[in-house]
Amino acid sequence: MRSRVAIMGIGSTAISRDNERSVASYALEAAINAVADAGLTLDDIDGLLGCPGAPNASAVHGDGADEISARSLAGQLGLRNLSWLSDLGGMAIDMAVSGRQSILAGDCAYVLGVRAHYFLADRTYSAARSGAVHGDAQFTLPFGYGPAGTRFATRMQRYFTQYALTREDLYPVIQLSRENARLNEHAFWRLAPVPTLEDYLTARPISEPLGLLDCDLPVCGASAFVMSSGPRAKDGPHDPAYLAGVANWTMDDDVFERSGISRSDVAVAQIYDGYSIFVPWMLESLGWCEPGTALARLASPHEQLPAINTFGGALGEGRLHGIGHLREGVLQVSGRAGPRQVDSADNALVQIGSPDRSWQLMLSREEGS
Amino acid sequence: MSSSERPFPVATADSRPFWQFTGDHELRVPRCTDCGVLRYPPTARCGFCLSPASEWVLLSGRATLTSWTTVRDAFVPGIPTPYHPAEVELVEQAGLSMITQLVDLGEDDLRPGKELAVSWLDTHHGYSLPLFAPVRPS
Repeated sequence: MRSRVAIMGIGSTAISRDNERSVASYALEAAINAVADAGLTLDDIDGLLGCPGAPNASAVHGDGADEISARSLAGQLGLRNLSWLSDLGGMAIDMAVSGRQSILAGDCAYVLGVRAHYFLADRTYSAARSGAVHGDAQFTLPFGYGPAGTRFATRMQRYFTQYALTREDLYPVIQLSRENARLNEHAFWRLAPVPTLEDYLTARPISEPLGLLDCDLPVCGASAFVMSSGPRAKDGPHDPAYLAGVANWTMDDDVFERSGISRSDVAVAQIYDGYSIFVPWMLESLGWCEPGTALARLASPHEQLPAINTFGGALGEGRLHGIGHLREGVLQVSGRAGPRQVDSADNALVQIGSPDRSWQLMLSREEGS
Repeated sequence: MSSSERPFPVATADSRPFWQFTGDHELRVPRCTDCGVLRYPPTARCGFCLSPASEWVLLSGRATLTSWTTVRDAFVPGIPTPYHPAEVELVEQAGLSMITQLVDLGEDDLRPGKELAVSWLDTHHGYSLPLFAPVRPS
């Protein structure tokens, strides 16, 4: 086993619906907080990673408008010692993997990754544009199938039919998200009462069988992290969260083999929940549950499952497209999750993305050898 | 262009014949001339044997319903809600699925395996979209 790279600092902003602040303002605050949390100064940072994609159909994709790139942030942070900067597509785990490569290659000592989310006030978040549709979407969007809700609602209907499930069976996912959000100081819903089953079932239908409370809330906010080699991370103020293994795309459960950490040794899992239905699907595809059984497992005491979405997930915290899941995985492994801390959280799985485009990262307290 | 108009497809080199045929209300998809497998959406090579050789074969326009959703929130312009995007399986080949929109639905039509037939929607941009409607006993 080779020496592991670690995440040694985490920074966040408040998560809000306040778009009077700019996207850069959120990103800068998260970046500054992450560097301070790692016990470093901005002059220590020699690698900077961005992940600027706004995921909503109505995004204008303007750098500094509704997304923010590393290229834009480098100057605003006044980083003087950068030797590597990269903006990545995909998800927050892509930043962690890219940072790991730069550190293992010896190119960088301290890599800062920043992911911000933002929506502009003058548009409907998920509304597709009229007009010409180019590329793959020409076979879906003209039929009204495009914004992600329709795509996953169609799969959800098939899943419900196949396993004789109803919306009521999904309520435990909503319940656990909103209960856990009350323990997360960043969460948008931290002060809100947990919706009842009736609240859930009577919420506005969006794309049936998906209803309003099955969808994560568009928010403005950012998180950032600092990575370094194991020896450097150990000199920091907190217990490092080591990157033990990664996988993505179709071979979901390769993350267990690559990390050498089995499912039963994972005490806590942050499972991407842009839509509630993703949680049972991922528990099944990651091998924690047999197909069609995850919702029943979540509804009853589930000792054989890891603690799930301890920070409330995106359904409880707001839609940060997975950087919130990564933040919580790091805090759990580092023993810094406060009232949410899971006992013996030696390993945490972070899963980001929809079940057909999923990224997995295993974090561990163990440095490896 | 109206801002409330249904989005319309722009053909690529791989899809241009598809949209030309649909303009004549013909549902045609590429069939690999090496291994015989049909594919949709049209792609440059066969997904099974990677051959670039294909011919455009005429389909019956018959399908069965795999899954669907009832859209209540109007996220796509130009389509009055509620409407029903769906995944259907074309009868010519098991697993040959198409994303479409269901029209002329009656009560109890939303069920797996429902038999469907293509129903053409002509757009203002010269394209015709293959929507699907339940087959009624004649």
